[in-house]
Amino acid sequence: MSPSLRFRAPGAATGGPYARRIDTTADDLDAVREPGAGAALAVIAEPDGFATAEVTGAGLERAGVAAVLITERVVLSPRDPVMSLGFLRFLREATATGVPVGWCGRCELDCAPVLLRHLPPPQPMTAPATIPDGPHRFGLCHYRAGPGFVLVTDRRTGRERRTTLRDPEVIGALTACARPAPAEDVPPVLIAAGLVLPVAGQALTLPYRLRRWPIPCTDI
Amino acid sequence: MRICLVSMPWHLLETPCLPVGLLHARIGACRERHEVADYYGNLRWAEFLGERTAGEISSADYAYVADRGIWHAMGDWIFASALHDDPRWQEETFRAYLDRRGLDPGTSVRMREHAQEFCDLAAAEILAREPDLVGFSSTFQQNVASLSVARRIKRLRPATKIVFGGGNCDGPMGPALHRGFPFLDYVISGEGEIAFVALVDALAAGRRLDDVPGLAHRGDGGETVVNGRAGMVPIDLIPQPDYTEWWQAIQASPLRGELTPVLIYEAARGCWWGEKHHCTFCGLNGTSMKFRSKPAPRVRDELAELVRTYEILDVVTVDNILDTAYFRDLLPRLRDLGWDLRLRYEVKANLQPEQLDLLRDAGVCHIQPGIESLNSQVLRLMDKGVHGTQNVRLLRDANDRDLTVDWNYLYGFPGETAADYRPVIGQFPALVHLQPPSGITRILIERFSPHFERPELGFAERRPAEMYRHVYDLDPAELEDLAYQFESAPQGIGGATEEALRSGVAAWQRDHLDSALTWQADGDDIVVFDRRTGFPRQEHIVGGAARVRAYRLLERPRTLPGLGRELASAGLALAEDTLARWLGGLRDAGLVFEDGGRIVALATRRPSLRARDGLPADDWLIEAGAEPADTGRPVAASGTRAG
Repeated sequence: MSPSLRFRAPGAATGGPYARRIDTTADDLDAVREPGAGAALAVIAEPDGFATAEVTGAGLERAGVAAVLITERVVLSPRDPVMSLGFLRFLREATATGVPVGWCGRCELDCAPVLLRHLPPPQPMTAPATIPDGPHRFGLCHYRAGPGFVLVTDRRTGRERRTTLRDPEVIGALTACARPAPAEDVPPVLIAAGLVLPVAGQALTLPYRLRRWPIPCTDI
Repeated sequence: MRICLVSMPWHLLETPCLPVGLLHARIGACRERHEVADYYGNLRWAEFLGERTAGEISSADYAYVADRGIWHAMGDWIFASALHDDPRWQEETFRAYLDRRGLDPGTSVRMREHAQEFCDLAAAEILAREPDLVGFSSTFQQNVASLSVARRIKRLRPATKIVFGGGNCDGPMGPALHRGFPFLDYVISGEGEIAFVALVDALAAGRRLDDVPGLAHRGDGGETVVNGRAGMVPIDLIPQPDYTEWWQAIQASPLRGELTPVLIYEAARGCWWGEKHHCTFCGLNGTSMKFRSKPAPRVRDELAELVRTYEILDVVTVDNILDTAYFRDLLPRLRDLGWDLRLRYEVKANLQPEQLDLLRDAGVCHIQPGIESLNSQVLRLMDKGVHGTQNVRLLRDANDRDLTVDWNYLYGFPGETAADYRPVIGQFPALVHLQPPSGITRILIERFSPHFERPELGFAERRPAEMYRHVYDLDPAELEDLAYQFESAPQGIGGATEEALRSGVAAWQRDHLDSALTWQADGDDIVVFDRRTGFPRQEHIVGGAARVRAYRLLERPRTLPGLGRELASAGLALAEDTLARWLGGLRDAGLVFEDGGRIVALATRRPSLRARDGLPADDWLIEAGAEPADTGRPVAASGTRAG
């Protein structure tokens, strides 16, 4: 009979509190895993796939992805808007569902750093990427949907700013840019408020829709 | 008639006053049309303090008095100077009271310097509306600020009629207020929806007031005459509250940017548990225990209208307990709205996982389950109807669903002993990953509670709580009728046990934020990841079909024999001593909680999310316009960091 209660060193199997390690691709990241299996650390070597991958927070949660490690360097650049916004979209969705992401690389996008503070930043390129200990600054920039309005809470600057969006065209653009979409259709007010990021003709919504609550929920 | 409804400090700044909103709407049921205005004196007070102190006294200082001061009549003391026209009223008594308890007075002494001037201003602002009748809604710490302004109104314009109502007026407290403060024309005891309409109708028609239920009024000689009370207000007569003027006041307030407005909603009154088993310490339902709830479609429609009208997704319900029928007919309706609500609800602690799922899906992410204790014997003494292990299970399952749990640890129950507490306190370190109690309190005796009504339960001798001494100047017999909280010689635990309980809770609160204990399936095994403060960082592997099954069975509290029977019926029988030894190992590792012969597993399915991490650092370094140093993508070796 196997021992009843054994011990092993922390992170012996996966480097963190995850039962499995899965080497996968951006496209397969939210494919449904075996039901009942424990949470996984997903390791991705090839970040190019984020250009087209349909990664959502709900998908990550369903798949049991508890952390993601990107092993290749990532360069976010206006020369590759599709890949850059696709990758930011992935960071946004992972943050929304509390999944830590470890990646290293460089950001050359023409935007104020403050706009991205709610997303996990790149680690220095001098060492391999590591898995952060926990999710990145949960709730720093998010929105909540109500009947005919959207409440945006933005603490990226260190001061809380709450905005109520009512204009259906503005709300529609915020929703449409959940995945990269043509920037020409985006009302300028969203870009001016730093809620949608335009990159070389494409645009992405930066706040995530709140899917999970922190404990205590009154902290955000 | 012109009517002004008033909500004075220390009503919370973020929320509308439910009684004012309800009565505002109910006045529409009067025989004649009347003009109604609401006066949010609580908001005005916070604004006034900000103006007078150039912002040094803030809304956070207000919140301190409203939240912490409530147990010490701090807010009432601040306005007692205005009530008694004595700027130094009982100052030494108050300071000595706080000193003895090691309590921080916050800015209360500075606030008090402005109380008299503010009450003059509030009276003038209310009178500027030229009301014929001014109604004060008074609950908890609203009494003295309301009395102070009422007295000024009566002095400035004696023809204006003053009426008090609210929780502070229930039962004998209402007539006591009427006797003690002659500038009050009327006090309504009990629920106001029918009585207030009857009062307004009678005043408008110039009729006698004998038919107004629950009303204290003046006889020909100025003496207090008390009418008989009516029955409970039927749920159909409880209207949708009208918060229009609160919303306008918030929008116009200079404090607007500091406050996150939250709606207040009432779907039910009374307590269905209390009707059968009145928790011995609870007096919150006053004289209206009978449970009544609005039909689910109506609740859905009213909530939807409030959310739509005020564009607020945060709602606190004031129901003393969630109607169990709402799991069937309300929560699915709220879920189907598809809105990102943040609802707060009081619930009973014995909820099943699927009920917690429904709460979360409906947007109820904040619950107050009345946990009170983790020891079954003490819970039995308070007639709570739950087991200590059920409470722990709720804390565990709430974490998995991102539900915030508000609870307090209560002690001081007649009949409890140190032996009830020691084993539970010893297990606090193992619970550190679960949400700790926000406070720990030796119970007071609340009016209307079984402890108050039935001296044989252990509190034979009682007196009004000490805090009333720094507030009122009343004959002791009158104070006995006016007070809500009472105290007696301490009952139950004390000394070293009390100290161990308090320090155990303090350690739990301190270490909670950095702790997690999670489990996952790993092939045929179970891995428990221990990341709790105070425990070695390690991974426990539960192996073997019988033990894996047993661990899963312990997600529900079970006795050792019960667990053995379940395993046997699944064809996985273990000898009782083998099972007991294995459970002993789990207990030693802090993986289960045991109380009253039942055992429950402690690990959650995933760590909960935290939002507290200070101000953002400048960690997104953007190399604008920089040429990449390399054209390809250097491949880094995959690396992981030991968790």
